[in-house]
Amino acid sequence: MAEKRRITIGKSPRKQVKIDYLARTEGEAGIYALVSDGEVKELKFNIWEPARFFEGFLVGRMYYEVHDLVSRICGICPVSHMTTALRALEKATSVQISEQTRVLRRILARSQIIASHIIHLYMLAAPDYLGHPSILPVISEQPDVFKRFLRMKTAANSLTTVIGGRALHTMSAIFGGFTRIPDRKNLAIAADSLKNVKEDALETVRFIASLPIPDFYSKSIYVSLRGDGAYPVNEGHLVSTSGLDTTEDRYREHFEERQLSYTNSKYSTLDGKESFMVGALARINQNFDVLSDDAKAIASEVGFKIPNYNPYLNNLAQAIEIVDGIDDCINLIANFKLKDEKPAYNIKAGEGAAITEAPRGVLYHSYRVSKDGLIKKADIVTPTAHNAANIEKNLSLLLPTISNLSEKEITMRCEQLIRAYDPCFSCSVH
Amino acid sequence: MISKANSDQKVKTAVFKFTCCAGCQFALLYFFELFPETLELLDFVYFKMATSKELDEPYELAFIEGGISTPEHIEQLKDIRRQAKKLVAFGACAAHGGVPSIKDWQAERSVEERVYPDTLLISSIKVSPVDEFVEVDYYLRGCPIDEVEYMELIRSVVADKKPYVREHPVCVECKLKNNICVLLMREGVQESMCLGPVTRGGCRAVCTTNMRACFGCRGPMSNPNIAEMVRTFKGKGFSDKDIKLRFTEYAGLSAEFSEGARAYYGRKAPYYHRKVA
Repeated sequence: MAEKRRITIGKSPRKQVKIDYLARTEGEAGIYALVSDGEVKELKFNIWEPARFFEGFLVGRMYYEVHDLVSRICGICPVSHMTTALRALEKATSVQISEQTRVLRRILARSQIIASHIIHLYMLAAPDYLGHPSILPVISEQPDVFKRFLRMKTAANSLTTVIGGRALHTMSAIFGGFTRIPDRKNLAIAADSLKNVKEDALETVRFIASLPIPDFYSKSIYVSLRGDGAYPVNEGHLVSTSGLDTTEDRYREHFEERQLSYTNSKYSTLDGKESFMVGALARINQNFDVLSDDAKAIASEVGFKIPNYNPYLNNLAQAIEIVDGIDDCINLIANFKLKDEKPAYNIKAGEGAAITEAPRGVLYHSYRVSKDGLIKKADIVTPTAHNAANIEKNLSLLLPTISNLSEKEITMRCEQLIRAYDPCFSCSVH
Repeated sequence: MISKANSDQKVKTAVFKFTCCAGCQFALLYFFELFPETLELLDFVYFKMATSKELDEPYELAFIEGGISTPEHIEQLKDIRRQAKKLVAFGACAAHGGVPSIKDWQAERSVEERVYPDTLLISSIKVSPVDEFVEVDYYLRGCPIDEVEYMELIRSVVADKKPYVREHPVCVECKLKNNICVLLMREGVQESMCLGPVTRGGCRAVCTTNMRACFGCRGPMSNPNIAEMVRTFKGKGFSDKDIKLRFTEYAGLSAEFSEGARAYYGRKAPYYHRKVA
């Protein structure tokens, strides 16, 4: 593609942001923006990752294979897609699951959220602030930071493995329950290794808070689940800072998707008009009171207050969630009596929807299933599809405020902003 | 052949993503930590998920992740093939089309219309494995790839040796783990419809060890007996439809697995996977 040259007309320089392929994100996307006289003349956030048509080809498949297939929507949050699909399908077919399955799925999802946050913070987001193209220079320059990252990630992955069978694309969670119940001893070992990285998690919050995160305030509507006395993971009410309070079954009455000409991801709007933000910042803005004591303490130590309107601080919200996640998992495992059980069920025809909090925010799955167990309709909306319109809106507000910087600096600020959302473009064009 | 002028020189490596979930790239990041020696052997000159460094130097080794699903992909892939001395198809999507290739078994237009109101704005063709268009030197199979196989491959490439290719079925590795056979001992599609006897090993039977039937993500073994596999499934009471679905989850485009899916479609499978000569 031919590079457009910077054009200067009169005294007002036109500045251009052009990224064909955004690095250190999951999947493929670019931005093009043109700023002139401090005004945004053109702005396109283009997710050009090829479409995969999951909602299309799931039709005609059987209910028992859907959770495996949809977990392949995302290589970073497969467990979220899996647990959301399982719950939606179990609702659609009127199948009850045991309390044990519910708790195990919560720990499984939480362990993956912790791992995903750790990777995003250290490998994808932090290099920008440290002035590196990747995390690799950190290995030699700040070995203690790199080792902390490894310790935490290993601990989170080991918990996912104990319950799910392996760290990536787990296989023991199936429709109706689990193929095998995790070994009590291994679960205790995994909980111990989480305890050992608790201090690292607190240190991570301090580390992220110490980075030169830009001051940028853009008040969005924040949408997240609201847990019942606990931090929301796999279930809850859907609430927003604009006053929305609804259930997952009524999601489609409020949220719409539309297709745009320049991007493969659909854009979501709330009640027909407004963009909104989902993810760690949205969750913490609406669930601060149910965070663990240590998570609240570290938040006040680094001066994080809600409501917080700086999208760049989504990274800090993620770090605080890691602390809460570790406390939550340790707590659940400690108060957990495992019993041997096998999935047993009869399916009925029906339709069901489920919303969970994936690492990147609100994830919606809905299915219609025939009495033979065939999928008749599938509807999936991912966190990044929810966020796409808001990312574009944030960029349009950000660009005029930084138009006096050099093109290189403007580009960096835009990249940092998009990365702060921890977008998953693979998910968005599922 | 990848030449190493002296032993200090790393192999210049580029990682490219096509249509997939990015999980195998993600596994590569994970393997950096698992095997720090990777970074001693390979110099990643292009790896978008890990670094913002642009591709501005030649590379010898290309990793291809994902299936081919747009017309632009074909040209990009051929271009990569021209530059790379060795090309690795890594992950089920690159090796066999993977989960997105399920789309190929249905009417393409109706699948696309279920997702996008205006399909003209979406660039998309049938999903194909990488070897549909270019020659592939090495495969790393599985969804996701396996770390032991990955390290074997890297060491072999650097030493310019032929890597160990597993021709045996998953069953061999499952037996070595002393697992109880899920195909014979368990009930239900999710837990007992096991493709282990016809699927290429190398995963150390991770699914069956977790009491889960093998779903064939690594594609067919060398010379599998598909007809007998289909007969066994039928003997267990599984329907033609169940059998077709199982064979078309991850590697349905392979000649062997599409044979298994014929039980449902009758004599003619809707798609024949051609290998580049």
